[in-house]
Amino acid sequence: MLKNLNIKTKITLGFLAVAVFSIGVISYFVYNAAKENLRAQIFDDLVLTANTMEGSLLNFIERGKGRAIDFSSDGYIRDASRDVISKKTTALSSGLNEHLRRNKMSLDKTIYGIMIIDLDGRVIASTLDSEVGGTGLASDANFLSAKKLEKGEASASDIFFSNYFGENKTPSFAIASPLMDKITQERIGVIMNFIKTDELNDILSGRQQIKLGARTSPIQKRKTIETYLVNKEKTMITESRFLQDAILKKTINAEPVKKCVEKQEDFVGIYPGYRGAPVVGASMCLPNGWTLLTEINENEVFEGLEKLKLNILLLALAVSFGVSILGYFLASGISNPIKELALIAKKIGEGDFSQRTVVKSKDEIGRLASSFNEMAEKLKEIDRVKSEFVSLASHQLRTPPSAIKWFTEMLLGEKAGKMDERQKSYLLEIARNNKRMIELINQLLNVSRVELGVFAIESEPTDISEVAEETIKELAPQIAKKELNVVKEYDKNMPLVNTDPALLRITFQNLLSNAAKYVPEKGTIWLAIKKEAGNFLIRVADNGYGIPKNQQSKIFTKLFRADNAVEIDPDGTGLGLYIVQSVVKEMGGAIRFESEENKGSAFYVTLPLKGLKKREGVKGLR
Amino acid sequence: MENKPLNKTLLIVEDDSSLLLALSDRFADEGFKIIQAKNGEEGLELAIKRHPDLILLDIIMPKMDGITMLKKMREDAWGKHAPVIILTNLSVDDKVLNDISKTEPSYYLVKTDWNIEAVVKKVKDRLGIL
Repeated sequence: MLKNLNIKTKITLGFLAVAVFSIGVISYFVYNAAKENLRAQIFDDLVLTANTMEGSLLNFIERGKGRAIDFSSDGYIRDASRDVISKKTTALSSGLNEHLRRNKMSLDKTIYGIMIIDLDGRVIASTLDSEVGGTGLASDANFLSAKKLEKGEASASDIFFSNYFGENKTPSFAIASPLMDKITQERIGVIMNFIKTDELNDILSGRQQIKLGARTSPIQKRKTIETYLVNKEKTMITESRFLQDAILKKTINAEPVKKCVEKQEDFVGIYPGYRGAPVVGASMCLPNGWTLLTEINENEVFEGLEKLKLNILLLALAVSFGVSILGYFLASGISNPIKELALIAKKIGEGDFSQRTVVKSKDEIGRLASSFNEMAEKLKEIDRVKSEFVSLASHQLRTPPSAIKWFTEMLLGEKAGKMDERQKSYLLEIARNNKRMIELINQLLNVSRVELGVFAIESEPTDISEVAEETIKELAPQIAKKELNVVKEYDKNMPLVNTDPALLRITFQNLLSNAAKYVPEKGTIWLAIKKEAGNFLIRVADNGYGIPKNQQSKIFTKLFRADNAVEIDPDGTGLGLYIVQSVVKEMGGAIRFESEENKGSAFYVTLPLKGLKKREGVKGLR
Repeated sequence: MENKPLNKTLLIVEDDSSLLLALSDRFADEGFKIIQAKNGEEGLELAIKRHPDLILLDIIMPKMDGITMLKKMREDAWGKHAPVIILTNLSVDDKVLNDISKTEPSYYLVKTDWNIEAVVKKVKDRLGIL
């Protein structure tokens, strides 16, 4: 199928294919590069954010620890605590409690409760009096680790729901620092600050910055970004931007959490988020086993990229279209001159050697066009030479026989003196042979015209039956002499056909004279002219001597005469049927025959109804 | 045997000596006065000078062919109406004879097709001689 397209289409499609392919390949790479770029950038951004958050978070915890350490070195607290512990009475606690409330807790808004716990785990002082005496923290992990610390150190707990100090499931964490006896430097207990995680949540959510005076938080510009903490038990311990009431309830099983918990490895990548949609996230692993996660929805990150994809597609279509148009014009520039040349070649092939094309460029097509014109010029020259040859040949060949003809005629007419019978008979022989020679020359000239292709077709509306009738009239002497019977059968209402009457005449002359020649006396000739299936059908038949079967294949060849024909008419040229066949072909028709020796022959000539168009050339056959 | 003189002049323009001889003898026998020319140049000169009653004109000749001579002759006041019969051995409708109708010959015949008797008759017809 591709072979049947014309050049214009092939080139245009070629351009289109190249454009689409190139743009496709380029777009693919550009898009992927952009995506990769964006991905790398968002990873960096997230890691940076997580890092910053981690910094703020650690600072926050350090501050808390500092506070606890600070409290633990308070002289009054140490003395009072020692007193309460050694005297084993909590009656002295109230003063300490008050001190804690007034002078310590007030220093830090985030602390909502302070306890002092003895080494056995009993609360000996608290900012809430009712807490004193409780032993709930005896096995608390934070308490236990704080007990082992040195002076000036503190430990932070995990985040938990606190019911201390009258709170009801308030997310909190506690920072504890060991209390040392002022004199003996022995541990006497632990002081524990209880802190709400509010400020922690503010930090992670970006609200902290605003509260401290920053005008904007870039975090809030992004719709789906959030930072939160996950503890060692893979539970979310700070607030979720999207889910209410997730703290200490929502389990986070994401890969970064696993990596922090198992290997203490930071992670950045794309993974399924806790809300179901994929997120891009970066993690920071904290020493205590917590995971700090900064996450953003994958599609928020890449939505810009989707737009890019669409733009690329539109651009690709536009460019492809433009390139195709370009290709089309380029192709036209090639195919139009070629089409024109093809047309002119056709006309030259039909015999019009005067056709020339305009040479418009110096490129290959221009050179082709020039060569074309040169070729046409040469053909014209050859044509001229051929026709001149034929003219000259006919003149030169006919002159001597004309002289012989006239002199023998004059001798026979006794213009140069009396002739006896014998002399006259010899002169008749000369005359007869001369006539034979003239006939042969005429036929040979026709053959050479046919073979050199130098005769013109003068096509005009012709009445076939009229031409047939004229020919029959010319043959009247022979018909009468041999007393032949002529049966005519012409279709009624036959249309005129566009053909060359001269060529038609030659056809009839040859076929009818053959029929008249090759029948015995009193024989019959049939002539039928009919219309049949888009053609004219001419049938010339006789009941004469026929053509022997073994010689039928050669009947149309030049100079061939069947054996019985030579016997009947020794003077025939053997060129008649060859000329008829060529002439019929020139008229766009076909010829065939049927024949049986001693029964007769029938020749069939078909000519197309639509006739012939005129052709330029040298002139006609006689 | 010769006929009595007709008082008519015939110009025969033919380059082939045999054909010229045949035509001249035959027409002289008929009683015509014969003027001979071997090519178109001679023929033109003699035609204008001698004003023959009819011209038998060949086509293919050296120096000046028959068509050219005829065209030139037709430019002459007398030549415009001079009767001309063209004798040629070119095939009918040969390209060379394209312009023939423009030169208004009285007749045109192919030598190999015509007996000389027929030519004589034609000439006599054209001149209104019985």
